[in-house]
Amino acid sequence: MKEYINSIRSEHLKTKRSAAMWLCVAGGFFIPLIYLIGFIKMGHGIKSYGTIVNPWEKHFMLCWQNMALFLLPMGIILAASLITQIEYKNNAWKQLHVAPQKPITTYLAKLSVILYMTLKFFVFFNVGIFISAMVPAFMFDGGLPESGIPWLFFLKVNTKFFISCLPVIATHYVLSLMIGNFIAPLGFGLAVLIGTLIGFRWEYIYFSPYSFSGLVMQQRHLPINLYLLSLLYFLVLVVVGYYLHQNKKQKG
Amino acid sequence: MQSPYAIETSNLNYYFSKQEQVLKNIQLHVPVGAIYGFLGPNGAGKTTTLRLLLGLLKKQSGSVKFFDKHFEEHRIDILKNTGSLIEAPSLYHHLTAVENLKVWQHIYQCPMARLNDVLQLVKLTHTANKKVSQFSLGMKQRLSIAIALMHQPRLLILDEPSNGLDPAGIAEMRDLLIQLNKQQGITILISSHLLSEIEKMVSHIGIIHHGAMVFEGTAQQLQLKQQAGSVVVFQTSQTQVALGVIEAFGCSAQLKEGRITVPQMENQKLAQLNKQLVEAGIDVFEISQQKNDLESIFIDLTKA
Repeated sequence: MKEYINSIRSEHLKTKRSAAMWLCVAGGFFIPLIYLIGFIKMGHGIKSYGTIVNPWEKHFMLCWQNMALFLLPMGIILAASLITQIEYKNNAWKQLHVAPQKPITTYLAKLSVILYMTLKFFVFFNVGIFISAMVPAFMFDGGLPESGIPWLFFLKVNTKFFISCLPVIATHYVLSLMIGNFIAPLGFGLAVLIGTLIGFRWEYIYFSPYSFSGLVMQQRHLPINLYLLSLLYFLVLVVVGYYLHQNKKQKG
Repeated sequence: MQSPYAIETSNLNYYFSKQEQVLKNIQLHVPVGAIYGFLGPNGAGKTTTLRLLLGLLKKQSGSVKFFDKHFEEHRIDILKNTGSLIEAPSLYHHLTAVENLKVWQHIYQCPMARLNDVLQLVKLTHTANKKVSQFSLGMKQRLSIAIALMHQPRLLILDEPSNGLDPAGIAEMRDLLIQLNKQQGITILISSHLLSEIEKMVSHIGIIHHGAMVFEGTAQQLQLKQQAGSVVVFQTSQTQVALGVIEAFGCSAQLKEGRITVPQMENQKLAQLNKQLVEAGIDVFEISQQKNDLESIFIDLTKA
């Protein structure tokens, strides 16, 4: 366990000032910033959503609506590939493979950092949503809406989206481990994502993990539990990925 | 009994494909405390051997032992005692020198004070907070060695560490490695394709060519080969007659590009031979000693 934690600390340090870290910050604040600018331009805050629905929930879901279908999977494809490519770009795989730690530790520590970065992205996105709601509320509405902040609702929705991301994270982690360049996994991800969006209305689209966040957003009725399917995909991909990575003829 | 070898391989073979065998029965014996120069021309199989030693390539046959322990069974223990630099430096260019060291400090779990120690050792203290992307190649090589030394290893494996360095950088690297070997007792396995680059520091030499070991021994054994291979060259007015006189004197002579070469002999014997040539009416224009330097032995051994 100590070895794993130390390895995570080492992996996390590598993301400092990296493109993946900037992507995480910029991606997290992008949609909320657009809403903030929109509110300021229109001169009102989230109270304008009315009183029929909780304006916090409405604002939160509107932000997610713009994020879920394309930007979230795309951002994850980019981040997972960028983090893994740090080793290829710096010719550092060979050094990592001769570090005195179990291969599974190296594999899981890097994956954990990608998951942590995704979590960080969620935090930035949520903070951005709060800022984009609070600033115009104080500027134009004379304060926050009377209805309280639905923390539990936020937590539930965030958790659902996070689980829906896991298979794409695992897919691109494994692809980037196996393919030594940045463009190929990115191209693959983009192609499958666009294909998924084109076929999004298809009844079996839930077989494509790239559709999961969109399906969560749409709350489409499905014959299977999407979250269990997502976790299953993730587990299988992580295990297969480790097997492939471990059996690579040449390391580094 | 403890093995006298820090690294010992036997029957190490490696095939890139069924037709392409890149290593043939490599038997490597790196004694504890030695600076072992692993020499060979480009493409001879040096890097493949070093990659196999460290598990970067999947072993196909043979065995690899470090300090008498099989690599596969004691991988982590062995790597805790081994520092390495294989081919180009493995550094994170977006991080500073100190941050690069911290990446490995977390893994090796060594004290923070070690960062400063290794930076001082490789003379990079003044650039500790500079991004590696702004480093010269020499600085990158030194920082890579600092990383390899972070966990105070007993063994260093360096693959052409002076590649791309200027003569001053090569001399600096050599001094550093000698210092590490003498003061800290670190065994060093260093590969190179230039004998001249490492002959001043190595105690043992292994020469690989076309994937096979063509020489392994101490630097002194290679020196003996050098002496044994030295010749005396004669240039005379009547080459054929001179050849007869030399052979009658009891020496085996060879004709090369109009000159006669005979094996090295004592000065007194050489003077007698010269006298006989002159008495036979032959003008002797030149008598010179041609020493077989280490470079030419290396070239001879690695001739196809």
